[in-house]
Amino acid sequence: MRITGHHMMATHAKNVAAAQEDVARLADQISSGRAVRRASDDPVAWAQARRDELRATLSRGRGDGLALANDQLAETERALTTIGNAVAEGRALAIQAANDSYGPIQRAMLATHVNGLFELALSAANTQDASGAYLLAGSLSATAPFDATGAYVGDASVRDVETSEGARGAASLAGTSLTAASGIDVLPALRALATALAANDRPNISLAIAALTDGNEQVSAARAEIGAMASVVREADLGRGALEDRLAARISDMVDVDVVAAATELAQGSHVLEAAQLVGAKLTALLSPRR
Amino acid sequence: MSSLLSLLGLGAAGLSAQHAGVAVASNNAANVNSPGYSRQRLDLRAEIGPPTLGGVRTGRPERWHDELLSRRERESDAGRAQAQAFAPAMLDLEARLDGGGPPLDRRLATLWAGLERVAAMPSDSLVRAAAIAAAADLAAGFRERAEAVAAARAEADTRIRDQATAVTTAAAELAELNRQHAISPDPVIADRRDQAGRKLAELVGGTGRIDSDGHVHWTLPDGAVLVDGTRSARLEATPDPVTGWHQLTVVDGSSRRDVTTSLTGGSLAGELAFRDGDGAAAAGALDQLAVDVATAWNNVHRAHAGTDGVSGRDLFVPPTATAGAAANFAVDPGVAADPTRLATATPGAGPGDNAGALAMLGLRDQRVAGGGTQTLGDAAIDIVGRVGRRGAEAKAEVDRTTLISDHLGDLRAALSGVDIDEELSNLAQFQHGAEAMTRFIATVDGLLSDLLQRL
Repeated sequence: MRITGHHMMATHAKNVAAAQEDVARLADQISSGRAVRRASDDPVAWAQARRDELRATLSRGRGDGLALANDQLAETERALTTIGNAVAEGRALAIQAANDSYGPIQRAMLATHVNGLFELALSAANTQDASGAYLLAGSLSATAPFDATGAYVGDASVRDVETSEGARGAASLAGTSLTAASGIDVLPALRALATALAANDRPNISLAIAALTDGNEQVSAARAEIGAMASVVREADLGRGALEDRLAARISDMVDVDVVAAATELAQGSHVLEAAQLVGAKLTALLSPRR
Repeated sequence: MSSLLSLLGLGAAGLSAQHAGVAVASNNAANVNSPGYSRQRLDLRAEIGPPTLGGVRTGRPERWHDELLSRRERESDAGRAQAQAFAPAMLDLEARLDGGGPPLDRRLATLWAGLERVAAMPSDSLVRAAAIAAAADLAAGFRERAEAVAAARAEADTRIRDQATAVTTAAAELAELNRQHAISPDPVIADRRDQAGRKLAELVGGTGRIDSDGHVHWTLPDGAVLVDGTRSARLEATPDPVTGWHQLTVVDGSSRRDVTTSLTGGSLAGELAFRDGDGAAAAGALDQLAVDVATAWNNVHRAHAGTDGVSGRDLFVPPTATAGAAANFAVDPGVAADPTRLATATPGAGPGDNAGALAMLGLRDQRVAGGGTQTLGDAAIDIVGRVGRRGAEAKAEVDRTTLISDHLGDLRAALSGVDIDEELSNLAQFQHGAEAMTRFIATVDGLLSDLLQRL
């Protein structure tokens, strides 16, 4: 085939441009750390990476929800601990007061103490979270769940949260766990003890011991339930973290550049470009018209 | 004596022929870098007759040219120009859909992340407000992307309008060169005519052929004639009364022919494929996704209640039609203004109930998009993915057509290209020939002078 000098120079120019394009592409990949930056770079890898990124973002959102739920469960646990301690102390005082050696004046003093325990337990049962919602009210979270007599005015609703993709777990306790629906009305039982002590009513003081024993076990059971929920939430958060790590690794495999391989290719491309530029100088000298 | 005088004429003709050879070689060398120039060769013909009546005659310089190769080049130019118009439009659309702020799939994920927090603390007004803000951000994302796609198509439409004008000009130029070539079949005019043909092919594709009258005749794929000898038609771009997009019509006198959907080559075909094909598909996919998001979300939202206990409200303004749904996507103004209206609870339950929030979270995994085949997140990713895939195919097509064009260009250069060394060699050859004829004339002149002196 006939090759003209003009054709040789034009072909050389195209080859230099192609070499420059290769070097620019590799430099861009290395400096950005990404081999696949756009869908058009590698449609399949890009789409899979994006789906994984979507899952990772959803997982992080789930983590925020789990963190909030964990805070609420911790707050609920503290409230139940306060209530449990008050019930246990009330029971101990009832046992003391049931003794024949106690007279009306001592029992009246104990009544004041037990009233204080009742107010403490009532306040704990009406604990609110950071947004002002009552934790033990079920779904009626805008209203204090226990009234001044210790009666429950909330509902039995329990809130679920997402624990993992497609899975949910309970993350709240309704105040019904402290009512006859779960055994006895715990707060009214404490109040009944205070009333019996104030009235020097020994039979009812004895009855209060049994009620508060049941109440103590009921509060312990509620604490165990909260503990189990908190454990599920913590496990879910650990699993979420592991999922996000796996997704990050997968995304990196699909779209991040292999720096070593790219750097090697860049070195090769740079040599090709330098050689092409040298060839250009040779061609220019070769094709200059001779005298 | 008459023979000697004839020899002088023979010498003069020979010298003129060598000078013509020098001129052709010089002209070739001068045009070594002229685009589209085909090297010329001198048509030298030995005259018949006895030696004293023979000699050489020169004809018009001829082009080194292959019409079949030229036709292949024009076809290749049309394909390459089409790919080179389509590919950047697709890549630009991909950048617009995936850039300019978080893409739609990320905004959907942010909304769901906000609802996770609402599910944990349904009566917290700040958390509710943040979720509504995320919904508003999603709506803004739809509007921005719809605007971006519309802008990309509008820009393609402007290019179509401008290129239609360029086609009319190129067709007129080709017709004028046909006229000039008929008057004087100069090789340079023929080269210019070839270039005009390539320009027309790059713009609008079609087929050019040289008729028996020597004129180039240009037709489009459906038979519409752009150039017929010395006459050319106009390519008019007229806005469609319904869509507003420019439609292309070949106008020749009273004859009008719509060619908008029949072009298969040239940059116009590439722009039309983008504007009416993939660009339109992207706009349609965005609108459909907007409808799917609004419908699915509103169905759940209506079935649940806000903290005020009221149910039956929409979260997003229901689209009135699929077309334009993305451009008009918005959060319900009542919900946007009052976070208590975000329907997170079961009707009849208290504000601490989160069944509605959980139901909206459940939309993540439901196949409510793509006619029930995709989740909302996957559908959002797929809009960009499809454009990216087509962009990748377009890039590969540019590479393929450029390779073919380059190969044909190499063949053309081998046949018609000027080689300086070759022309210098020809120059030397004709220079020697001219020197020889000068000596010949001087010799014959000497013989004549000698004869006249002796008479």
